[in-house]
Amino acid sequence: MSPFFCLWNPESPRAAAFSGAVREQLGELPESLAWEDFLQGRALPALSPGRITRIDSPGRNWAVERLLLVRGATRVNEPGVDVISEKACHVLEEDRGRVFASRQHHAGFSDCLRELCIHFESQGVSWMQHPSDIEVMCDKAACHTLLQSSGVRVPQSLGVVSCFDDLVARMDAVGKNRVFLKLCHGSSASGTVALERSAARLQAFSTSRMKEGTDGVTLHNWRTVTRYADLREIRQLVDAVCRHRAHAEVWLPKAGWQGRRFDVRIVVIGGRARQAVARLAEGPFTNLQFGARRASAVELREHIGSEAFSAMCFEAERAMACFPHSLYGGVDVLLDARRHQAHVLEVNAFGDLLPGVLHEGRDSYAWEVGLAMERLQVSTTGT
Amino acid sequence: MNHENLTTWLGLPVADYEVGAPIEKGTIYRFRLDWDAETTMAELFAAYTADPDAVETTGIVIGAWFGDDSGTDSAELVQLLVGARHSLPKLEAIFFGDIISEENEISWITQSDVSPLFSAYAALKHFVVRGGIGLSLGGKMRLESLESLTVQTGGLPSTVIHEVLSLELPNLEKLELWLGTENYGWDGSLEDVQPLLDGDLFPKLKHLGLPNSEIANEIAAALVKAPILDRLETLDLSLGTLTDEGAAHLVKCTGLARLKNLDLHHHYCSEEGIRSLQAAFPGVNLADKQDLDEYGPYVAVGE
Repeated sequence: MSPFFCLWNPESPRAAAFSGAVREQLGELPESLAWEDFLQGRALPALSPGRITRIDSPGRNWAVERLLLVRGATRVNEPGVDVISEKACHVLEEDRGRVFASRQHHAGFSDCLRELCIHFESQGVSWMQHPSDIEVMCDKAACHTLLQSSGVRVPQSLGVVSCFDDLVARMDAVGKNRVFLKLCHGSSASGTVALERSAARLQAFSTSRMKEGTDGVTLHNWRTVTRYADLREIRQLVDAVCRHRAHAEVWLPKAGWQGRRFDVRIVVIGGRARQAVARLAEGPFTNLQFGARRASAVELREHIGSEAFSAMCFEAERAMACFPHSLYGGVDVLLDARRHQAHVLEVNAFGDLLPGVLHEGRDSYAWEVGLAMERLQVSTTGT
Repeated sequence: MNHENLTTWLGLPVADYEVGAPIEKGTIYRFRLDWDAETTMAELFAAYTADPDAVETTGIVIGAWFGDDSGTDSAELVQLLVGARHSLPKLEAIFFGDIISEENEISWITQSDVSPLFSAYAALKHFVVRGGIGLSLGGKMRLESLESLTVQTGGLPSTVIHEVLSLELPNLEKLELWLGTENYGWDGSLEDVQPLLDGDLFPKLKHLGLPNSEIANEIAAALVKAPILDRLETLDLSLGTLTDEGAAHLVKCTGLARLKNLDLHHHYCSEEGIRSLQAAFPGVNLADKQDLDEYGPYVAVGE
């Protein structure tokens, strides 16, 4: 039997790619359970000690999203944060792009992670990523605090922000005029706002647009970046983002390349920076869905020099070192335009899939499977 | 666009000046403040000019001077530079505003009257300024040495154009005015730039650029019979909103064949327009073809 057990959305490209990597190296598929089945009450299997568990992203599956919202419905008790009642969740209809109560979604997800932890920990399984690490990585505020307290270079935090006025007060307090506001529990730049001001002006760029409906202003991820220059609109936008629980940090000037600005996704596996892709964008967001162009690690190293390249890898490795019980993670790193120092923007639990991007001839999943097996052998020969 | 700081200028390497670091000969230094700088531009300047090697300085780059407060205008910088004139006797090149979009949007950079620099540095050969808000070049002066003048904006106020037109620049070879868009401060019309095309100004002008313009088509039309083409080596209408309409005018310009360089990159011409331009001027730069979308054509650098 395959040593791997995966909890995932089986239709996702991530599941297909990971299955492929396991089959390639072991000649058999991993054992698996679908998030949807798990959330509907299917029992978790009993695993023998030494089995390796991979908890994958529950994202991009409406049935799973709704079930996580249900599970989180009674688990959010912060004032000012959007909650959808359990009853309402059951009749909720899919609305593609809409950001649904992401704090509640995270609360449901975290509850699952704890259940998984209790269940499997007692069976002596090992984790590709420890559930408690995943929980922190999926909370940008908690993740930032952990990185900063561990000495990783990160943009200055303005903390969790409750509303537009609070954001402005926090900007005043630290004397900063350019900030990024991010959903604490968003992925793929969902609900992100880049806000800048001068004495005379204020403007914001966002990956989201607002819609006004019977249930107030809702946030919708858009295929293009929207610019807001109207104070009333910006206030509305920031307030709407904050109702999901949002974290603000200083917007550091990104270095430029090829007439664009860029940052780098570095996949750290087994403590070492492996695959890397530079993302070059015209706007403030470097996600590929907004038209960012990719450049390879080789091109990047050639452009910024091996010293700066090593510094970026080093900072990414330091960030992952904050999660010693996790084999891998996708770390976003920027090089600032002034001093060319590396700063860690985010650690993405599920940012490890870079199809076709190779490090020493192997893609990220091949590395993950290979290193997980090595560790397994070390631990079994050790006992 | 506008996302990279200078790494070289006028053939020399550009590096940020750090207090305490020795001045390397042959390097042009950039003065700028960090987002969390604990120093001031005045301190940076004082440290630089106190270095005995500073007297050899030929070029200076002014970067983001405002730290994180992008509303601060450049007047104090102008004064600092003017005050340093005796320490910089060989200065002949100033890049005033090497500021990238990630530091401050081009249309947010607050400039000021920079003409005191022209009086203080009579030997100035090259001057580049970025940002149109609050900008004044004074005008009505004779700048004997000036060989190249570049004004980069997301929207150039017509007052600045008229100041440029009123300058006496007997040795000016290169003039580049980024006209920009109405959304960000461009308030002029073809009439304002027409004197440049008539060819009576700036007797040594060889390189003319009116890039980043939303009247690129109109300029192209006016160029058909423009006397200036008789002596230009370079024409730059890049970064703007040139379409097939403008291309049709350009191919009719009799002076076109005499040019050495024609830069039209970032344009909205169709494949047919591209072919006609290439036939009329082999080697024309037509890189970065743009596709029209619902918002219509727009200039490359606005924001």
